[in-house]
Amino acid sequence: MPEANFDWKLLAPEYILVAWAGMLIMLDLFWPAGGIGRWKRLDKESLGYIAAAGALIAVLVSLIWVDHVVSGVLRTDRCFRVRGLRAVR
Amino acid sequence: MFFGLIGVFACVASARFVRDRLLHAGEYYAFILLAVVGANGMAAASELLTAYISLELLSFSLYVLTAYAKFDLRSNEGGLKYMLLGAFSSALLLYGIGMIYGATGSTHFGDIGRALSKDTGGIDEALFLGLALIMAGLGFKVAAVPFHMWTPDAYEGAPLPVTALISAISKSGGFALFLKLFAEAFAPKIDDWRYFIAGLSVATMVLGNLVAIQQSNIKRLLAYSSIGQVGYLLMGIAALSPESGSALVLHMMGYVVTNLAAFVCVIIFYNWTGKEEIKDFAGLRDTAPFLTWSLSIALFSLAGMPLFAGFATKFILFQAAADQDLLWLAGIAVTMSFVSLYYYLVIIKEMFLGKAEAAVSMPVPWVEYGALAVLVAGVLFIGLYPAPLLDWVDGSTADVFAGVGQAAVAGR
Amino acid sequence: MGGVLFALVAVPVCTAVLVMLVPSRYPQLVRYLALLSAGTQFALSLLVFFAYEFDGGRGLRFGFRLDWLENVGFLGKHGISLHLAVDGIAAPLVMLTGLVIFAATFVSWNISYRNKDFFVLLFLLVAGVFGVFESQDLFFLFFWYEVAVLPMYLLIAVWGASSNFGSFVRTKEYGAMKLVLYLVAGSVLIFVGIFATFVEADRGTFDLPVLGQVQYDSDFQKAVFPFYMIGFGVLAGMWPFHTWSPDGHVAAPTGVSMLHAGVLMKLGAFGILRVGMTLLPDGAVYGAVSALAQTDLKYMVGYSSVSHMGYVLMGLATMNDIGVNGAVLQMFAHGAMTALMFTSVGAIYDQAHTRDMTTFGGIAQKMPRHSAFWAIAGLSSLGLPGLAGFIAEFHIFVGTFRAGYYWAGAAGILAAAITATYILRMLARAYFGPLNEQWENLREMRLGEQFAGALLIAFLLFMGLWPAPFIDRISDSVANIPGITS
Repeated sequence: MPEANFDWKLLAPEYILVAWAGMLIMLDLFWPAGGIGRWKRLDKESLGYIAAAGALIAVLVSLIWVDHVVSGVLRTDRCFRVRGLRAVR
Repeated sequence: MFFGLIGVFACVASARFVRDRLLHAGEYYAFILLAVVGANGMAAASELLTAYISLELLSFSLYVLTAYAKFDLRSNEGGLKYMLLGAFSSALLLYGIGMIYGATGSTHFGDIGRALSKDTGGIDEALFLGLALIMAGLGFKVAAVPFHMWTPDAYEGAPLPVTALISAISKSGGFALFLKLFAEAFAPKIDDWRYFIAGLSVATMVLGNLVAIQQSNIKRLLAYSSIGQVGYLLMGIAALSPESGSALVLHMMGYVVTNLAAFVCVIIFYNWTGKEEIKDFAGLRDTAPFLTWSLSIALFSLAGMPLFAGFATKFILFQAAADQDLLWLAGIAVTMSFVSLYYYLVIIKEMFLGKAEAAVSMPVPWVEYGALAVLVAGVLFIGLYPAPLLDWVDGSTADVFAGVGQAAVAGR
Repeated sequence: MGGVLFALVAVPVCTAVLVMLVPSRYPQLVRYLALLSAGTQFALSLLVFFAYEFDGGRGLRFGFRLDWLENVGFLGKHGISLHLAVDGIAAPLVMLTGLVIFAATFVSWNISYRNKDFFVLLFLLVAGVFGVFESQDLFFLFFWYEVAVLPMYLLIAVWGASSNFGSFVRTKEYGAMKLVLYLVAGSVLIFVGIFATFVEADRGTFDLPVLGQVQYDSDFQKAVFPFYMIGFGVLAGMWPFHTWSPDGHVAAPTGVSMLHAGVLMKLGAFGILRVGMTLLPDGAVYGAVSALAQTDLKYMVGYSSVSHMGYVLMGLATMNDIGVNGAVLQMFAHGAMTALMFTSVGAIYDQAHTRDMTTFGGIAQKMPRHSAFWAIAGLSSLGLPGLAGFIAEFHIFVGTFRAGYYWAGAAGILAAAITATYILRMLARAYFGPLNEQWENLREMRLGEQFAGALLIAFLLFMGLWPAPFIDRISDSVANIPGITS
């Protein structure tokens, strides 16, 4: 049985994604009718681009684990997350 | 990371679609991101319960998304079917996990592998049952024949960007898990399940490709063609070895990029016209040359034509299978990819030769075109110079196969 | 010099990309770009042919290697590499390709419907053809082979012409689909053959010279050779897999027909020679009989192209040096000759909009030069001494008799005689005799077409009158193929 590793930092991209998902729902629900500053209204299309940006950020964050293989609390080794990037043991 | 990229493209692609046709955009995007989380977890998990939870997260997001167009009957039907069958398969999977835990005393892939390699006798009933149930459960998720029944309806009913998302993320997530599970945990018993998977693979590619010929709706056609592709991918599992593992991952990347490109084309077209029958693509060459060429490239790539991703990745995958004494399987796969060329050519023929009914002036969607250009560039890149990609993939699969799996495979 | 070979593949590909970037407002610019590129390719291919053996070298020349995948997975050193080199067999065929694309560009000058797309696809096809002739790597040989097949569908389906034969109609879509499906079905077999060879050799590389050194088990050779034989044979028009050829050729636009009948069908025979016979000589001896069994008379006279490719296959089947030399010579001769034939057929079709030769009469009065071209092509096809066809067929027949296949040789000669009958009859009917008033308004061929025709005739005469450079190069390399008797 390998050592459990309670390094929750490993799940940072997932946290970002989940937080971003929550933020999108909040934005959609509570966007003030009068708008904020210059942004008068938020249409559905721009929500899509915001979501895309979130996913992109998560991608960039997960680049941290390039060249690493980690046994996490879930024994999530990172080699598939950073699929396509050589993992050095 | 790879799944995140899928998410980016899915969001960009759906933006305009959602504006025009759906309600509640916020939740919609949230679910896409959650699906990405699920797929990430599936690929990263090395423990059965984690894998199961991630898989459920992915599946539930997709169930909801499939039924998202709530005033469209087909969408509701597809969503319901997907959910019922999906829930059933999850139950099978969970039962299988229980069996495996009972037989080996662990849910960690590595420990299962170690337990199995110590056990030199025949496979016992509980283990066998568990293995079969897990295969069936995962087979549902990746839509392998005979567990594919939900696919065409879900694909047809779901809003188009969601169809693209299902075809990309649930397949790649499913196969990442498939590969890790079988390479790390079940590799010692490879002789017991190899021909079962090979049989699944043959059934999947034959049925997927032959039925696709009949289709007149482009979403259903792509659904069946993706079933066919699953057959090729299963071949990589059947021929389990470090080489076929990396070939599998490479083919999957090529497939996902290509399939996304194809779907983005269809989405753009649908945004313009609201139609999705193959005959509606007639004469597209005259109205939208860039779209036509991109879709042609994507389809040729799916059919495994050279210069594009499909050829290089298929060649490597089939060669890896042939290396493991599965030449007959590779032969069937090549024959089937020949069959698939026919129905792709039918679409291409419509676009280049058909006569458009009425010339519609279409706004040029720059963002979508940008995404499409990136995807097509990816298709060409994988097709022409896969060396760096294969190098990286090889490195990561080597890790998966390291340890127990490696020893078992080498000692076989 | 290796750079030249690479350039021959790269130039058409780059042209395709470049032409694609030209706005479709400038069709004339596209034409000049195409001509420039085709001229460059022609010059380079001439260079390859004449520089070969110039300094007394032999065997594989002008090696060039670009590693594509190596030391990954099942691949070892030089696992898959873009390895280009020509031997004496490939050199004339490379020159033929350069010649035909140059001529085809002239002939395709007047295509106005989306001529940009046309040239993009055409040059992609040519890149594939050059690639196959030059590849010394099994993967890339197959890669280029498929590249050459891929654009055919669109080229025929979009720019082709449907034909009405009275009792039945053959649409261009039908011809194109049939052609592509036949050829890809053939490549399925090649695919399987490649896998089997790679696994059996177990060298971790697709490099042909390396694979050629492996001693394969005799049973293995006999089992796998048919895969290559039939797979490549489909493209070479081997009976009974030739039925795509008439449909495809009739439907294709002139320039494409020239390339296809002139060069592409040679890829099939070349593939049998380069992959099948070189790697698996035992299998070839065994397969030769089956090939010869197919040279029956009906097939020989049925279609001109098919019957000439039949001579090629017959030459290969003899497995002795004269016969195989003849086969390669015939590839060149037939390539130049068919290109010439299609040039003149295309010229008349552009004006008359029919290819039905029986409706013509006395058109030599209206189109004297065109008639001369047609006559020369026909005479070369029936094997008149002094033209290329004679040299090639003579070699093949001598080889056949020497190999002991008397009945096949006799059938071949009989077929040549029957060819003579129909060529001469057609000349008499369509070109000479009283002028049919229907064709009062025919005009002479365009200048570009005349130039293309003259160029092709020059090469037919060159090979017919002074075949030594060809035979030197070819026989040198043929002798290196294992299993060839002298």
